[in-house]
Amino acid sequence: MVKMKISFILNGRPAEGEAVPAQTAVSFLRDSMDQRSVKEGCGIGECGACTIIVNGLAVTSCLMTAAQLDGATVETTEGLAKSGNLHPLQESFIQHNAIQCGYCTPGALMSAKALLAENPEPTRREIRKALAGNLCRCTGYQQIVDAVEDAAKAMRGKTDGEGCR
Amino acid sequence: MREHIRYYRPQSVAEAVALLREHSGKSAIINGGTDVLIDVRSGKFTGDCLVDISRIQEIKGVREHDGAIIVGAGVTIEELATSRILQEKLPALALTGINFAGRQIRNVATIGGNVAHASPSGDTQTGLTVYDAVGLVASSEGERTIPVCEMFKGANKSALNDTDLLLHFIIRPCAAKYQHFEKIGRRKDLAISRASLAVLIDQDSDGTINFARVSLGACKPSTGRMPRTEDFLLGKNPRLSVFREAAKSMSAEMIAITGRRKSLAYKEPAIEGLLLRMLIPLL
Ligand code: FES
Ligand code: FES
Repeated sequence: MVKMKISFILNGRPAEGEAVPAQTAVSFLRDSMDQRSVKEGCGIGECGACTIIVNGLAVTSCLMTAAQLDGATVETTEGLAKSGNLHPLQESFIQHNAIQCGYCTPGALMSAKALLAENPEPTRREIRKALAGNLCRCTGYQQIVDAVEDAAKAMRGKTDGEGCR
Repeated sequence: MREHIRYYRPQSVAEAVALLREHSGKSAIINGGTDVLIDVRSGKFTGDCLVDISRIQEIKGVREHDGAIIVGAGVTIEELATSRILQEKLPALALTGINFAGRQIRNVATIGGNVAHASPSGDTQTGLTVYDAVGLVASSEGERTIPVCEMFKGANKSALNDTDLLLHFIIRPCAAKYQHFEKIGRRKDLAISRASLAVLIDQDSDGTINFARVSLGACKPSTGRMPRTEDFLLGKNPRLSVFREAAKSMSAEMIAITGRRKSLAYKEPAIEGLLLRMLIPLL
């Protein structure tokens, strides 16, 4: 079996691993890079549990090869908390009870993060559209949309504040 | 099960074409991977190598050239939906990208992959064929053009050879005032199309329809224009009764192609309603 060296930026730091090239990105990230937040649900691009951010875009890591991560900038939920502080999205998900079993949560967080990076002030409709590819069997979605909406507000408050100072 | 699959990542069209020739019969092209990796997982893919074309710059981007719009085969569905040039010049094509799967898929799935995979419910084909788009294909024998409507042999059967690489689509913008695309799925987002329709209509100052193109997808073995329905609309004045008749004529035209299938009880009224809904703004 020919393995390939995968060099990429993982949550802001250079990372390297070995993969069977046609292996899925989700299995490589979980098993070789210890990114256990990345979940495989359906394995065929329908549930969004495996969503990660690659070069700024939310993608399903079950329909991506490990080799396609080579040279890319990759974000997972492991990279959200900074120096022990949860990311505003994580705080907000907790506050709004947007988590029950939690299996869909890392994927939903990644979709939400990618959305807020390109659109810091999304409407509820835009939030729903951006998270349409993230299925949740537990919450009924309302709480997730609320959580993202509130996190967006919190994050705007922060950057606006910094901008004024 | 994936261990034996070799992986190539060509940086240029020339390199990719050479690889496809070398591995003919055993390779699959992947870009976004959203179709091929499903086949790899299910075991439907029986080859032993993947040629990943996602890093080839030559097949990316949308540009204007000589009055035509060139859409790279590597343009993602999200880029299709959000491209300013396409929204302005080929709106019915841009619209095919909007309700296409979830954002995670739209970010990587490509128009070239959608066409090359010949999915009978591929929305982009409907938008391409209504504009009579032509594809440019490269192989070790050189480059050739093929009209998109000739790229399908049937459901999931592409007319392209496994040594062919789709480079881009060449599309002439159309002056028609009304250009639209809609689809019907089981739900609003993520749904695989059960029917999709693209329509280009232009009218004289008195309302008479002087230009009509209608392309129907997901209802026949392949996607393409419906000439009898187009002829029916030509010279007509927009009236509800006329549009009802046009809708009937389109379902008859579809049945002439597909025969009477089991799904017809659903599809016949569904596509009639879809065409009617799309024509009503002209009243
Ligand atoms: S596991 Fe990737 S979309 Fe379901
Ligand atoms: S919290 Fe259980 S699937 Fe979403």
